[in-house]
Amino acid sequence: MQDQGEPRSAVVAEAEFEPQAGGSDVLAGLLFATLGLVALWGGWAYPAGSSLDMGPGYLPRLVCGALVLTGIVMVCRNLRSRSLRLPTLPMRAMGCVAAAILLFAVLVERAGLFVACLVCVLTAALGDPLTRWREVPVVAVVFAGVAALLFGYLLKLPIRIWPL
Amino acid sequence: MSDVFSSIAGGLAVAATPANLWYCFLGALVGTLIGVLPGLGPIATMAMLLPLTYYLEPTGALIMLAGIYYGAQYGGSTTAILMRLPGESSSVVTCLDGYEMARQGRAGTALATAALASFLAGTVTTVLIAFFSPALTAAAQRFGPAEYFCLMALGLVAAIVFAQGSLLKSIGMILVGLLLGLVGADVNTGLDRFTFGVPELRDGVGIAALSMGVFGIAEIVLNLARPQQEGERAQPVSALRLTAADWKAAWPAALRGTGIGALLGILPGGSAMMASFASYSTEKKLSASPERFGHGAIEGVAGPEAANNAGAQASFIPMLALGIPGNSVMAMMAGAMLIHGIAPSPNLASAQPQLFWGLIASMWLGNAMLLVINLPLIGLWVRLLRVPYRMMFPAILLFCCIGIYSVNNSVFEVAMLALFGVAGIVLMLLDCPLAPLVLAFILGPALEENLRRAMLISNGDLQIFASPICIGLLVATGALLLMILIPSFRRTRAQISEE
Repeated sequence: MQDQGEPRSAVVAEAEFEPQAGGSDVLAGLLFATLGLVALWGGWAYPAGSSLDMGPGYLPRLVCGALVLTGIVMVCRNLRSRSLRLPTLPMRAMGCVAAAILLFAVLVERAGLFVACLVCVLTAALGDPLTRWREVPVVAVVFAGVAALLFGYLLKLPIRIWPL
Repeated sequence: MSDVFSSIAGGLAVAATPANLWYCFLGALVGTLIGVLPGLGPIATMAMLLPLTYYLEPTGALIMLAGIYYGAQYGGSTTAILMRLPGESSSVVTCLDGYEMARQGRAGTALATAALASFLAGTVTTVLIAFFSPALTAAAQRFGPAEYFCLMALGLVAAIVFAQGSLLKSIGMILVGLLLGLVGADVNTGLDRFTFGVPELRDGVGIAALSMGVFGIAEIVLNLARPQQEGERAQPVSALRLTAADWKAAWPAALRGTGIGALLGILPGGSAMMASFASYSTEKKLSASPERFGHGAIEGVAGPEAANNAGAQASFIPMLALGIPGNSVMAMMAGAMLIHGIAPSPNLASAQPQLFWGLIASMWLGNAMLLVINLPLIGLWVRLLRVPYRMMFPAILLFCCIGIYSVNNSVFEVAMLALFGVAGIVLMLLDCPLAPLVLAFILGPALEENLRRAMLISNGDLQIFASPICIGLLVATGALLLMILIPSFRRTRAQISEE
C-alpha cells in the first residue's frame, strides 16, 4: 500500500467514526425496534399459553414487545432534539476481517488448517492500512506453520492439516 | 469454622500439586501479558483459550482461566503507571495519579503500591470467598425456582443500573441478550425457537462465538481503524520502595478499596472497572486534601488498584456459591465448566470439593506469584509493548478462528463468529454497552426455565413469590431501580460514563 510507514493517526484521519451522542440513540432505537418486530413476526407461531401456564411463545413475545417499545421510546425522545448523524462504519477493516473469518470457515475442512490460516492472515492484512506487503507473506507462512504445528501435531486436535 | 479451615487446607493441597501450580503460574503470566497489552482483554483471551482447556483436567483448566482474569488486573496497572496507557479498562483510573507519580520520579513507589495493594486485596478477598461461599451455598439450598428467578432478575436490573451510558440502551441490550438466549429448542416442549431451520442452532447460540465475536473480533476491527493510542514514553522505574509516609497514606486506602471492590464484585452486573472508579471517588471525597488527586496522590493508586483486584476475585462468589455468573468473564468460566460436564450450581462445593476449594486456594497462590511476576519483570513487560499491532492482530484472529472451530469442529460456529463480530462493531459504534447483552444471554434460559417451573409448581399462584427470600430479593431489585431516580446517583453515573 502506498501509505506504508505513515503514522496510524494520519492514515485514519479521514475515517473518523466517533459516535454521535444523540444520533446514535435514534439509530440504536431503530435497530432495537426492527429486531423486536422481526423476532415477533418470526415467533408468532409459538404457542404463548397464559401467564399461569406459559408456553414456549410467552417469554419471546414479552421480550420482543419490550424491545419494540424501548426502541420506539428511544427514537421519539431523540428525534427532534438532535441532528441525525450516522457513525460511519470502518468498512475496510470490518469487511476484510469478516471475510478472513468466513474464508477460514470455508477452507478449514476442504483445504486443511495450513491453507486456511494462510488465507485468513493474508485477507485480514488487506484490512490494515499499515500493512507492509513485503512482510505479510512471511508472517502468514510463519503463523500458519506455527498453527499447524501447535494444533495439529502438539495438541493433536482432530483437524485436517494439509490439503492432501 | 474448623470446617472451612480444613477445606482450605484441602484446597491448598490440590492447588499446590505441581501440575496445578504450573497452570496457576501460566494463567497469571498470560493474564499479566494481556493486561499489559492494550486491545486484548481477559474475556477475549479466555474465549480463545477455552477450547484448549478441553484437553486439561477441569481443576487445572479453571485455575488457569481464573489466573488470567485477576492477572490482567495486575498487568493493566503497569502500563497505566509507566506510560499512561491503560492495558485494561479497570486500570483507567490508575493513569490519573499513577502516571503523575511516575513523572515525579516515583514510578517505583507507584508500581510497588499497586502490586502490594492488589496483593492485599487478593488475600482478603480469597479469605472472604472461602468464608462467604459456604454460607451462601447453605442459603441456596433453600432456594426454589421462584427464588432463583428473583435473584436473576436482580442481576439483570443491576446490570442495567450499573452499565455505562444511556439507560434505555442498556435495557435494550438486555432484551436483545434475552432474545439471543431464547434461540434453540425449548426445554419444556422441544419446540424449535428462532432457529430458522438451521440444525446447528437447535442447541442455542454458542457462548464462545458470541463473546469472542462482540469482544474479541470487534476490538480487532476497531483497533485497525482507529488511530493507535500513543502512550507517553515510558517513565524510568525508580526504586521499588515505599517511605513510612507512603505506607501510612496507602494502606487505609487499599483496605477501603478492597471493601468497595469486594462489595461491587459480589453484586451481579458489577465489574472490576466500576470498583476502581468507585474507590477513586471515595478516596477523593475522604481525603483531607482532595486537590492532590490527579497530581500524584498515592491513595489514588492504592485504592483503585485494590478495588479492581478485589472486584475481579469477588465476582467468583455468586458463580461458585450459587452457580450464577454475575458478569461476562464469569460466564466464560461457567462455559469452561460446562465443557467439562460440570454444571455450575449451588451443589458445586459438595459435589466437587476438590475443584471448589482448589480453585479458591489457587487464587491466593496466584496472587503471590503475580507479585513475583510483576515487580522484577517490569522491564520485560514494557518492552513487550513495542510489538507492533500489525504483527499481533493476525495471531489473535487465527487463535479465535481455530479456537471456535475446535469447540465442536463446526464450521457454522466460525461463521457465527464473523456475524457477531460485525454486530459487535455496529453496537459499539452506536454506544450500546455489550456486557449487559452477554449477561442477559447467559441468564436468559435459566430465567425462563425457573419462571415457568415456579408457575407450574404453584399452579399459577403468585403467592410463590411471597417467600421471605423472594421478597428480600425483589425489594433489593426495587431499591436499585429507585436509585436511578435519585438525582445525585444519576449525576455520578453520568460523570463516571464521561470519564
